[in-house]
Amino acid sequence: MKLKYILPFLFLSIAFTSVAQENPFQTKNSQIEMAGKFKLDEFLSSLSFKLVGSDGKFGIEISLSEEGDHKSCLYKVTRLTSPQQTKSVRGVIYARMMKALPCNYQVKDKKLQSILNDTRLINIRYQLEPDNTISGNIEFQGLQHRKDSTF
Amino acid sequence: MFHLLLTILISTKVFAQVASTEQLGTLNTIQNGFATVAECQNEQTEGVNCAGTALDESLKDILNLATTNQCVASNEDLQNTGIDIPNCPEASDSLKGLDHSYPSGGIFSVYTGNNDGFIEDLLTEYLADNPGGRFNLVLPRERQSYLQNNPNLSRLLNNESVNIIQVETMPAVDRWMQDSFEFTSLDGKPAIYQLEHYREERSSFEDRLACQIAKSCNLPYFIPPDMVDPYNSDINSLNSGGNLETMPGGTLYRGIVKSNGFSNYNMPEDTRAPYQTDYQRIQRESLEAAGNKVLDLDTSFLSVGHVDEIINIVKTNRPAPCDYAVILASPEKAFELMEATAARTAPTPEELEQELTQPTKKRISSSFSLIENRPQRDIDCSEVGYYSLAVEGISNRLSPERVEEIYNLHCMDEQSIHSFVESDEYQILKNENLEGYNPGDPSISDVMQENRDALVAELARTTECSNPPIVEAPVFFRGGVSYAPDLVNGVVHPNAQNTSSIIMPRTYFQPFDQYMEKELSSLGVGSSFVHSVGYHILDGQVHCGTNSARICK
Repeated sequence: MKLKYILPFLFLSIAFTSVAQENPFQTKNSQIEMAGKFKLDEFLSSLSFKLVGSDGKFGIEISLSEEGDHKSCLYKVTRLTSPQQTKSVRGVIYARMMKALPCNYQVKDKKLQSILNDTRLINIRYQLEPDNTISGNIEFQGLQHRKDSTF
Repeated sequence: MFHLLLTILISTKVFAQVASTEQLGTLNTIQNGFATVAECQNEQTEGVNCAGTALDESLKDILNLATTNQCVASNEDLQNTGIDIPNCPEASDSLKGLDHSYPSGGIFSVYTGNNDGFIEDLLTEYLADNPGGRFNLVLPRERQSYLQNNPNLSRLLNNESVNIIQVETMPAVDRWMQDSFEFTSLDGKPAIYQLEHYREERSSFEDRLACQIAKSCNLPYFIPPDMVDPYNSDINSLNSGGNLETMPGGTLYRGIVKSNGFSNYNMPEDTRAPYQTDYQRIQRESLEAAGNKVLDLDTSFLSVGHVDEIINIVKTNRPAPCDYAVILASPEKAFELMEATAARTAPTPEELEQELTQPTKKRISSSFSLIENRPQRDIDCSEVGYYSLAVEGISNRLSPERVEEIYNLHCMDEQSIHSFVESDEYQILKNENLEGYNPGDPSISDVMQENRDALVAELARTTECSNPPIVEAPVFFRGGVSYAPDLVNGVVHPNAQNTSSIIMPRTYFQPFDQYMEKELSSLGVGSSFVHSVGYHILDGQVHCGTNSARICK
């Protein structure tokens, strides 16, 4: 599922601000906001991700809503790139679960709960669409499971 | 790097305006399926160093020694430095490849305005043992002011061995010099062979990087058969230059998707392996029609999908026919070295008893805080993570003292090697690289073993060497890309000892870098490292960011 977003180049612009006034990697000076909705395999629950952060520190918030109850967990972003410069022509967001704040989802579907609580790494690959939306792939890597989905 | 020996029958010239599109260019000649493009021909007499484009006035003061029209060294220039020039492969009207044992007459790279450390390192290491070679810098006019503000780099580039190729804007392919074209050899001299690239789709040929280099360097420029139709476009990373190489013996090798069980990086959705693009199918047909063997290897687990990420070839000091070595990405070697280093650098029991743990709160939003506990005794690697290192190398190369300081921290990106090896992340990556995701799925290691077996079998057939040395490069993967800078993806050039020297990405993890130096040295192969972390975080490495014009006689 494709959603609109604001081009997330702030991280790279922070990284390369020492280059010049005219930052070749900066296209918009705006707050980072990037999100997507997806489902994992046969599970009915709709999941979403959202990039949060500022000042060079970012997290990916994975959330699901179940019977009016919103559950989420935060993962620390370790790599964030835009499609404009990468060799693969796809942007990347890699994240890992924080040891001090492990995820502890309590959801109705226990199989889904097991997968979510097992997840330690999130890999997102995205590309730009002509209408300024993004589409891509999100991968959940855990000690016991690996799942992926498109968004 | 894929070098073709292209011999076109000149006995009957056919000049016909076979196809013309307003968008792409005027195709003048099509022979053996290859075309030339009017807009990419230099008007100067062929074979004569053209006047080139004079340097902008603003650069003449700082680059008065650099040239603008001497892109490739002559055979004589290289021979005068002690480098032997091999004979060109037997040529008739067929296509042949030049592997990495052929001399580099010129290396090409792009100045981006924030890769100064990389360019400094690359220039220094390339000319150190290839002083006859030419260092070509593609310099976009829109980035010139950054160079002018860097006196160290300007001073280094003000050198008679440096050739400046000025272009108006950053190329559409950005810093990825390897991907949109290959150097060929025509009558023993370099020529340029345009390849399809996603970022140049529907661009006129005149605007493409390869065409601009061809005109500036007065080199012949050709379009391959599959690109003659301007609407034939796969838009797939598998079609790029880093995914077509030559091995000793002349067989061409490339990557396709052979295995299921990995993320679907370069296959269309709802497609099952084996898979290759239409471009690759036509490419194989035209290469085989010219009498070549094409070996398809498996790059299923790679996001970019290029063979130059996992295989390289260097010339050694061993006697023929086994006078070369194959460098292969080896996750096993990577995990072995990391675990050995973690054991060696683990905190002692006494240190652990004194350990105090304090949570460090970093508020990042109104709802959440990023909280991470780090034992005080653990090494602080936050300042030497890859993003920090990329920023550090923007304007200058890192000093040897700084490199040594980083090595002594024993960090893997932002984590101490001890913490990393103890982490769930490490275990997951070890499973992915060595065991496979699910029962029955291949692991990355399984795929690399298949690739190794196929390569060795082909080399035995074509070079009569049944047991070439294999250098297992410590490289492991996450999400389809190498976790640390990829030691396989170096650029190779011969040296005065007539073995190879390879310029590799520095991983900043000393056990990896030292291991490669030692292994290569035992084979008589020279090695050096450059700061290419800015390329690494963008999914590429040294070889990806360069192109080399190889020569023969």
